[in-house]
Amino acid sequence: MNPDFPIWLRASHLINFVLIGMLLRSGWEILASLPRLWWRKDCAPGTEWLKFTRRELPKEEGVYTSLMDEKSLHPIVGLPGRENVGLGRHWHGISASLWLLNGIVYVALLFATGLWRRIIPTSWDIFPEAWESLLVYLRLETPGIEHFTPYDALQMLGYTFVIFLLAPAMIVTGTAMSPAVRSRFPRFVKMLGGHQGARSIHFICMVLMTGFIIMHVGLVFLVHREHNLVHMVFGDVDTARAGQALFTIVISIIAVMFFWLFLSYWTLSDRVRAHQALVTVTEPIRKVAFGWMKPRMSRQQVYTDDDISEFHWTNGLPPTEEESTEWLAARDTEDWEGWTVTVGNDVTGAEKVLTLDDLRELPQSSYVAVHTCMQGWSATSRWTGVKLKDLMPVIGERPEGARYLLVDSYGLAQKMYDNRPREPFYAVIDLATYDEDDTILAYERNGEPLEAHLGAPARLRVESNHGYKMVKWVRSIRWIKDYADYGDGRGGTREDSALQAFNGRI
Amino acid sequence: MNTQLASKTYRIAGVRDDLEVKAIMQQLYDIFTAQGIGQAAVELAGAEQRLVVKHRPDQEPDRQAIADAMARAGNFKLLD
Repeated sequence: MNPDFPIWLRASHLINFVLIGMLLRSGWEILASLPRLWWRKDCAPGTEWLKFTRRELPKEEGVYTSLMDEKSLHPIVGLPGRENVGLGRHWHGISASLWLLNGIVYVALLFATGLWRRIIPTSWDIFPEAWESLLVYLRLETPGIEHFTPYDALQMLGYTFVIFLLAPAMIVTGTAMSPAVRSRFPRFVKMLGGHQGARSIHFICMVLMTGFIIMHVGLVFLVHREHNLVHMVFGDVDTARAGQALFTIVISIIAVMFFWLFLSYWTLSDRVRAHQALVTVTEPIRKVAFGWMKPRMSRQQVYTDDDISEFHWTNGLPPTEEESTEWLAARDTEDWEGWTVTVGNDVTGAEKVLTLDDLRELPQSSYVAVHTCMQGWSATSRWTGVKLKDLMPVIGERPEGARYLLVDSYGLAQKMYDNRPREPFYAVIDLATYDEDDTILAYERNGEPLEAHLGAPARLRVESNHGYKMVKWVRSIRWIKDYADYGDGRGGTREDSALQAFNGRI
Repeated sequence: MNTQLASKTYRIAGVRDDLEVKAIMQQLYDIFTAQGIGQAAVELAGAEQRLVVKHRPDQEPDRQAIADAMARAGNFKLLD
């Protein structure tokens, strides 16, 4: 046996192969929901540095919804495919978590066994040697077997780059897109160029990783194939078994590809069942990894009024006549006269009806924050309103047994899971999220009354979560015992219809 | 800025499931900007099927353009 290729090394490569395919395909599903990339602090249509759609969007705000930009991927390409960004995000979270775990084990064993010396260069000679090797490849020749001890200089540089720079960069930029991370560590995210910088770098890393995988696998078969195959499959040096190794590898690749497809079609065959299974895994991960991060946008100096975006997308358009004549009537007055928000609890039935002036008389909270949609767009604004923990006491103490807060809207959902007639949009937050300083009912943006298309006259802001939790055109806020009793029971309109996670912290 | 939008409801036929709804929406998304539409929803309520669009109040969507988009998605019809 060859001590350079122990069983743990080969096993971690196989696991990595399975997971990287899941990661890439679920990542493409997410990208397809908003196939545009920016470097800016806003996402104005026409300012992208790269886009994968021919759709042209209006330049003005508030006349279209970001969901209209979504493209549909075939299940062979996306995981799961067919416009399922919610389920794609679950798969991405699971794959990324397992990929990270596999990577940590791999690197730990690399150092524990001393095999790191085969990969990490320890001499500056590596650069001229790698250059020589590159020239050989560019001449479409093959370096002699004596260059591989077990790797040649170019391989060592490539592997060091991928393991210790590229993979960590993907993890860092991926987590930087979490609103929980950004609202707790705003400086870290801003250093990466903000949400759009992190998203664009994440994309570039994905391209580099895909290129590496193609080259890595390709060279296995093109350069000293017999040696590589027996190393990879048997950890052996006897090239007489190369045929067996090739057969094993081909069968393995086919099996893994079928597994990837199976995941797509299993998910699509019953999306609710898939959602239930996936959240069983992803919700605890979200809770442990991101639940402890409490937003501090109201106490930070990193994002200031200088960072405010010129353009703000929206997802969902203001109510029209068939949705709420009350809201329309109030909109057409000078200062939302006649508009009310009901604050109450469904446990005892207590409630109180407040006007916009009532909200303005409560203690005011104001901060600059970045709004991010799970699709990928973002916008920075100054939000002003009242903290929910200052608002809810107007009806007294939280009733016994109430564990969640349900916020609903004058507007209807964009669609229902089963395409039944649309019902009012709603979202549910838990007690920990309610208690955060940056969970407010906002009635101003950038020092002006809130615009209609962004939720006027009052909308929910939950800075630790993505935008789908932040109900616009708020009608009521109520304590409830359990969200399973409302809607389709998944804790919000986007959870019900698009199978998003209840926990919107990443 | 208080953007004002109008909505219009059309009766449609031939839609059986969510996959077909998505196929229709993908075709509609392609004509949204030209037609001044910002959002659309297909509602399936028993035998009654409706397409609800939100659009700029100063631009009435072209019925034929919507019918053509639905036809490109499959055997779906705009009834009125």
